[in-house]
Amino acid sequence: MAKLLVCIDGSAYADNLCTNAAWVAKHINAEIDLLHVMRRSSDYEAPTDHTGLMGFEARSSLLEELTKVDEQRGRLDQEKGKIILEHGAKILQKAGVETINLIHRRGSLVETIQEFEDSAEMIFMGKRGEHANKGSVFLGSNLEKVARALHKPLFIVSSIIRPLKRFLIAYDGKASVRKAIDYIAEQPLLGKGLECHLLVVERNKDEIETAEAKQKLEKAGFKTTLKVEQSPHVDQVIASYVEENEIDLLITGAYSHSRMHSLLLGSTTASLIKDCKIPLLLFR
Amino acid sequence: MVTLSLSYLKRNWLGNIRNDVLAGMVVALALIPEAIAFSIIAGVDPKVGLYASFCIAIVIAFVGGRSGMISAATGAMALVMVLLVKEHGLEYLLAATILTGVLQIVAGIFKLGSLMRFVSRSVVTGFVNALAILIFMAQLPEFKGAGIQMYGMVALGLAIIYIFPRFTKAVPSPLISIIIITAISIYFGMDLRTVGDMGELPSTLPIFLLPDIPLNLDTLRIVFPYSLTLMAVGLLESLMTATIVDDLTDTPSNKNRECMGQGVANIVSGFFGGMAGCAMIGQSVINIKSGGRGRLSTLFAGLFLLFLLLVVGDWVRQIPMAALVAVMIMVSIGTFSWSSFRNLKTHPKTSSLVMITTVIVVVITHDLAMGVFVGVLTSALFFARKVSRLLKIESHLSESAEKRTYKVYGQVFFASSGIFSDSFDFKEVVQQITIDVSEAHFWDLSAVGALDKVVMKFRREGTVVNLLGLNKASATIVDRLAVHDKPNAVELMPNH
Repeated sequence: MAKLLVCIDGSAYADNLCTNAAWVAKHINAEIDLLHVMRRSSDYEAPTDHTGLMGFEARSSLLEELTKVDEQRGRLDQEKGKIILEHGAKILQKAGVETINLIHRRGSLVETIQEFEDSAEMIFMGKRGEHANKGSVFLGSNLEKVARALHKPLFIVSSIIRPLKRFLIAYDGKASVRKAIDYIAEQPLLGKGLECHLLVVERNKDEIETAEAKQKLEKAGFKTTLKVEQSPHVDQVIASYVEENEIDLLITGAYSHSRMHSLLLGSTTASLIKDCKIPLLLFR
Repeated sequence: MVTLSLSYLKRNWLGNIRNDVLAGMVVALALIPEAIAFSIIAGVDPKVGLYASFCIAIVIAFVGGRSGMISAATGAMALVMVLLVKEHGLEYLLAATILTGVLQIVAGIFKLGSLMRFVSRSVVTGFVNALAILIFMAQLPEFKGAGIQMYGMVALGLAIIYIFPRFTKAVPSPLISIIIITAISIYFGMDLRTVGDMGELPSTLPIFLLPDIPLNLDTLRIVFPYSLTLMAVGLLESLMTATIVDDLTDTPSNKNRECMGQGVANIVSGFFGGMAGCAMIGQSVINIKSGGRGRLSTLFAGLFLLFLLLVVGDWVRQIPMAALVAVMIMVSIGTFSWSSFRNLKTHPKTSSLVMITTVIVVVITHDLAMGVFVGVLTSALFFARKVSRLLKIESHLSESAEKRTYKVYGQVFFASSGIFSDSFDFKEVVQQITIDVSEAHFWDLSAVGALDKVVMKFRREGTVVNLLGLNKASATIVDRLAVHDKPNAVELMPNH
């Protein structure tokens, strides 16, 4: 039986995360691993004392003090994690998911997800983590790290949740988005008869070959609309298309550029995640 | 080795900016008195220690293997170089510093850092206690011929250092102590020796200089022994400190990178007119306590130190030695592991003996490397003696009283081969004996030699000797097989 890995924390996305995951689980008949990763104690800011004093037994008393602080926080975090997991499990159960495994781990989120990635069919995350700054235009720092590290499809849940009628594939002809089309055509994830929009944004005319992709989607039974546009601003075109056509899910290949390239020129994927208010399904 | 990525930057440099900067300032303030005091111990101008602290702190921030650890001119290193400075002068010290750096890089390349695992906890405690005692002892000459004023000011300085934190934890109390003592001494025009009397203070940025020494074999012969000791002491204290910081922050570090980083930092220090240094236990603890975690804290400590020197250098000149002595007494008190007194009662006698031996050797020889060497040797001997007790020999006589079987369990090696040979009864007259060694380990040639002797002796009495399970027992002696290096060593070992 296929497995979905759902990474949950105390953020506002937690409920939608479970609802979306439950929906997918029912469609592809999967069980769910509900994962909550606790922060390491070293991720927290430590208490400070600027006296510069080395008292008696300076080392051991400092170790004692730091341990005590971490211990209290650790205990609170453990309880909180348990509540988060139980809450998620309740939503999943209500939505009719039969097998739910609760996984409570400590460490870095990316490393933990990598550990469980192999057995998972798809991975679910919220757009922003609990500790990300709400007002910030930047995305959760973890999301990009996870997206770059993973090899499995990543479902990014947003704050909008509505029944899926039409989905958009942002097509650039690269391997990752072709993988996405193969997956949708072969797997029972998206029901036949859904409206499928295939959007191609080229810099120069006829740069990207689209016939094969369209054919595959139509053969799989989707009502496919193809739209080709020329623009240097890929992300803006996609974002406005999503809004105008009331798209419910955006599917695309992710992070085809190197980290350095994105750092200098910005990443299309990152701005899509930021600008589109709907859920995304990323393929690597 | 260093991959520049966002997550690396964040984890090591930018994850904790505010606290790193504040902690760096606290550390820089504490570094000034220490660097001056350690220069005085080494017998050089204060500027040599201050340049060293500046160069080492800045370089190690980039190349070190342990973020949040503070390295600078240290007492442990200063103690090693006293004779070199006295007999050959500063230029030879700079050369020795550069050579120390080279040796440390070589040690890092050959991963000698892993040798630290042979330094037991007791030796580490001994090292730390000896260091504290030596720092304290180095303050005593300052009292020689000094009047009551000196004692009074040191006492006042200590009182401020320990009492001031009760009122606020926002300002470093040693700094307050230094300011108050300096103010009092200037106001009353006291006749106290000041830092300015101890030698030259820096007035400019350090500049690149080649040490003014003849490049020949004689120079190497003078410098090399000191460099070797400096390398060992520097790496020992640095790796010990790294372990302490690892424990305090609950994060890992790269020990071999730290070895090489210390080397690079010392080379730079030597070329810029600084003495050799290493990681500082006390300052690193202060840094962590002040909230410093990232490399930024170390870098900022170095930068702020230089800023202070160039801006307030003239005031530093007027600090009375009494204030520095008070700070250094605090450092030695904070470095000493006071619980080791209490632990004398509860810890195993041999561990305490190792600790005390290390302390005594260091205090007598003023050489921390020698102390650690003797400490490691003593703990190895005690260990060998303990393991040698893991040997048991049972025997029984057959019903006809003609055959006796000896069964050997446990470890046979140089320390237990005597016990092994003595366990056989050569006076008993039997026709045949069997020695079953399948449950024993023969670790070395002494063990095999002892077995040979036993067999020979029985044969000379006219007894027939059977040996059982020798192949299995002696598997451990063959270095080539080296089962203990393999991950499944426990399964490979003959059972017992």
